Amino acid sequence: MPTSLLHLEEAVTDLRNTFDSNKTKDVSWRKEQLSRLYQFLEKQEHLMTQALKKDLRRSDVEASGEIAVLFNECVEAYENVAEWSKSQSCRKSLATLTDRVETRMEPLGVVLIIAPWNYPIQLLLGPLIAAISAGCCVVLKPSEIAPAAESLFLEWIPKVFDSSAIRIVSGGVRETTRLLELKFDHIFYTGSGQIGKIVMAAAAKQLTPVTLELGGKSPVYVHHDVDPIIAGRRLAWAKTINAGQVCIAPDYVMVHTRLYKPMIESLKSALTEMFTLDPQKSPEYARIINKQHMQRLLNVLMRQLALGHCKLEIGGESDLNDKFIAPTVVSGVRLSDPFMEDEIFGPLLGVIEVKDENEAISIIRGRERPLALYIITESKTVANKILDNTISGVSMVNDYILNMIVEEMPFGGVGASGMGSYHGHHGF
Amino acid sequence: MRDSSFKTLVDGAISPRPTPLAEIPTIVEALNGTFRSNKTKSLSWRRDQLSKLYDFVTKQEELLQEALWKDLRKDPATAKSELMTIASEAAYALDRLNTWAKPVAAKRTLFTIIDNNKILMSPKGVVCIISTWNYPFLLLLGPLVAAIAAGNCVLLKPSEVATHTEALLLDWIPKVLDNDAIKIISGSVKEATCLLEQKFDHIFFTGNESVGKVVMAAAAKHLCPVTLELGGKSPVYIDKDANVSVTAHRLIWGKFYNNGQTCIAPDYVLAHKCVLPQLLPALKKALEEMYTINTRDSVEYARIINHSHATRLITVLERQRALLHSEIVTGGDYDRDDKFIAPFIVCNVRPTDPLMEDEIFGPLLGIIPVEDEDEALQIITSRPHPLSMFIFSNNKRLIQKMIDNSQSGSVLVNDFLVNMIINDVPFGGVGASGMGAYHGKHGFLTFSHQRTMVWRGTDPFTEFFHGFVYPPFANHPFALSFVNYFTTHRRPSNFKVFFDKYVPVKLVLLVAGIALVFEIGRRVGVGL
Repeated sequence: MPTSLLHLEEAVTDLRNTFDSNKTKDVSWRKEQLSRLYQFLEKQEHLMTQALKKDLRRSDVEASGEIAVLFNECVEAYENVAEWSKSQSCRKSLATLTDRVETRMEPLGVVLIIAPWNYPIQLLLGPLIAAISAGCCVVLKPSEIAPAAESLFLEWIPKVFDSSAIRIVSGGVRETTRLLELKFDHIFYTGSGQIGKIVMAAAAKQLTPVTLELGGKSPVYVHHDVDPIIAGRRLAWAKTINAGQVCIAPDYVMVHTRLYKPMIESLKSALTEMFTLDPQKSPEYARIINKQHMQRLLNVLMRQLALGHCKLEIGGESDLNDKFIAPTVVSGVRLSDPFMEDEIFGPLLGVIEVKDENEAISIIRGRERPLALYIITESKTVANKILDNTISGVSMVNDYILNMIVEEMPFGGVGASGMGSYHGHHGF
Repeated sequence: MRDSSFKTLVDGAISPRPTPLAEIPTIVEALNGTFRSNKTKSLSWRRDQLSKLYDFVTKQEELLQEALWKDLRKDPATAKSELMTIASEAAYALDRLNTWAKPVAAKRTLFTIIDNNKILMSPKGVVCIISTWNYPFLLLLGPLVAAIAAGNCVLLKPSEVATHTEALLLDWIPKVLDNDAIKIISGSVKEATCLLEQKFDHIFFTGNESVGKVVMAAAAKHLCPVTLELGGKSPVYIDKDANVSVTAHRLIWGKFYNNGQTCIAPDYVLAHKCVLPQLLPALKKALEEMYTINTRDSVEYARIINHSHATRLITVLERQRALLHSEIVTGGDYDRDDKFIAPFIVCNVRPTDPLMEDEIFGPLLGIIPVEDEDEALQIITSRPHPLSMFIFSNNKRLIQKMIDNSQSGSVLVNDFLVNMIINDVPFGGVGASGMGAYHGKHGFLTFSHQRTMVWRGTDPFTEFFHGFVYPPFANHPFALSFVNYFTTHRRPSNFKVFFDKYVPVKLVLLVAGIALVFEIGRRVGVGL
């Protein structure tokens, strides 16, 4: 049930009053909230796992992965918030020898966190941890497209946190539009680039700073010097996490000519190994979030397969009612194909054959700056060459996605993939 | 893009040689080409450019000062200070460049123990720096230092309102710096609008709030991050215990520096009513000492930038003067043609008066008497967050209270302006006064993208552990708990919390170390 527009305004006013009372600036208040969140994560893990199963048919290991990341963020914030919030003194010069010069770490005020549906728990509570550790009051807007997670939050957020400083609201386009008209001191948005532009334009009217965690097509380049078995396995794993609905999922893969055929074979056997020949029965394999996205993916797949120059290597099966699409690999993809238009955000992998890393670099450069870049090679030279000649939000060599568990590393995009970053101190 | 929103900044000035509109996209494309060639990523290129900039600002001081005199009638001391600040930023960047540009290694955890994980400091690409007219060199070349240090290509847009400095920059930037990577364009509303339609990787804007919104809205279309250095009304609170003579001197200096045309100038004063009887005469005395009674002929006393701004200020002055409750302390003289306005200080101002409407940005100072610091705080917090805030007092508790209950870009106790020359502290606003910051390392980070890089091995050891997350084994309870153990923190136990809080580990280790040295020394001594 969407929050009424009046309630939205009231919530923001209440939070502003709370912020002005200086309550959230107190480090012990922040630690108290973080501690409550920790206990909630620990005690109610099963509720969250259930919600993820309902919304996305998320497997246990993936669900626990999502929550484990939150545990770590929470603990790191709890342990470090006192240190982080200390004023930083600076080196003095002759002119300032008798002065006291320092940079104070002050909370921005009342912030808005808008979360998406693919990691509905992590992408709402993760930024929340950062906002609390900084001492802000927060309005949380979970995604209505993941209804089980949204209901869970609507019930538990008021129970767990101090309602005078942390509120949750619900709704669709109408409510979010209204929220964006109200005055916040920071807006943290995770979602698509299209909406990101709308959020930033709305923020510009109030001169509100924003953090936009967007997406894009995250490329993979596989060089000829790797073991195709390991490379295939890791790529198969990374592509099928959450049925490909991850902002840093490998979107398309460019394989060096010499490894092209072995890599495709390896992908096929890895996928079969992981999900059996009948992936719909595998409990490990997630589902697409809703019918609308199903249609979108089926449409792209259909248009791609209609082209004569590509080949369906494995997968292609789907079941609209079950919101199931099998892990699908299509080889022989070209740059102007349907697979190469928008971000896939699903379990469809296009394989492009390239001559060498230079061709891969020019393909990557020809497109918008991606959120993640994956380089699979044993050669430091090749990896460094690609790193030096491209730019991406984050980058990984020989693996995928795991940067999310290294807390100190800032997570954020660049260019069309976003601005600003968070995790650990960066979130603070 | 609404042209009229630029008029407040541009004020009808026509640039002498505007860049043709058709050229602007070509220039941006050329800069993109240079960036792709990786030329600006090289540290030696950056050092070379920073040195050249340093040399330019120090060797051509006379030329630059002349332009500042012609535009703003800026006296040698103020002009030199502006130029020296640029030189200082460039020198600081040259000194620290290696440290700033180095990849930051990530701490190793059990899971990432053999990885090579770093944060790479990457230049954002092609950035645009739009500057304003009050410190026309500093506010263009200061951000330029940061952009170069971070390895970017830069498109500079100086303010056409400061015509002589703009012309000088248009002449000299191509001569001094690498023209492939650093370009400068000129123009007014049309050219600025065209500029904002281009796609940049960062836009750095210094100017007023309404244009700031236009810049951010334009940037939103390209998802381009921005730094906005805006303004606002920066308040001064003078406590009853303040040292009156010191306060008066510093206030006069801070207010009339560059004739009040400073983004962090004290805009209005909230004075404890008990201090007013001494303060007002002290202000008059300080004014006379610094600028003489005939401020017009004083070399130190600058002019308003142009007639439009002079008219704006004169209008505010006359409206304030017309109010019966205004208590004129000094001033009221002006000469519109000469762009001269004598220092105008008014007491007994009310929060609804003309002097309390928009940012003054000129030599008009309103003083509001207040009962105490609470009333001052109430007035300050009822307005948008200012760029700067000033507290004159010797009462630590009062000062802390004011700081804790307000927000501002920066806060200075017992002085003005000096934060500009401290390299390490971030300079930027909050709320309506801006977003983002620069100076020193903060400038470097503003123009950098911190690119996380995680480098994993494909050896059997790593792959064995990786196997724990592959389906279907991953869902086996053993695999689940194994992975959890290696990747998850547990909440710090109460013992750890107590230990961290009460046991000074470093002190204990130091004492133990000293004791050990003594013990060894004693035994060696006995042995001998």
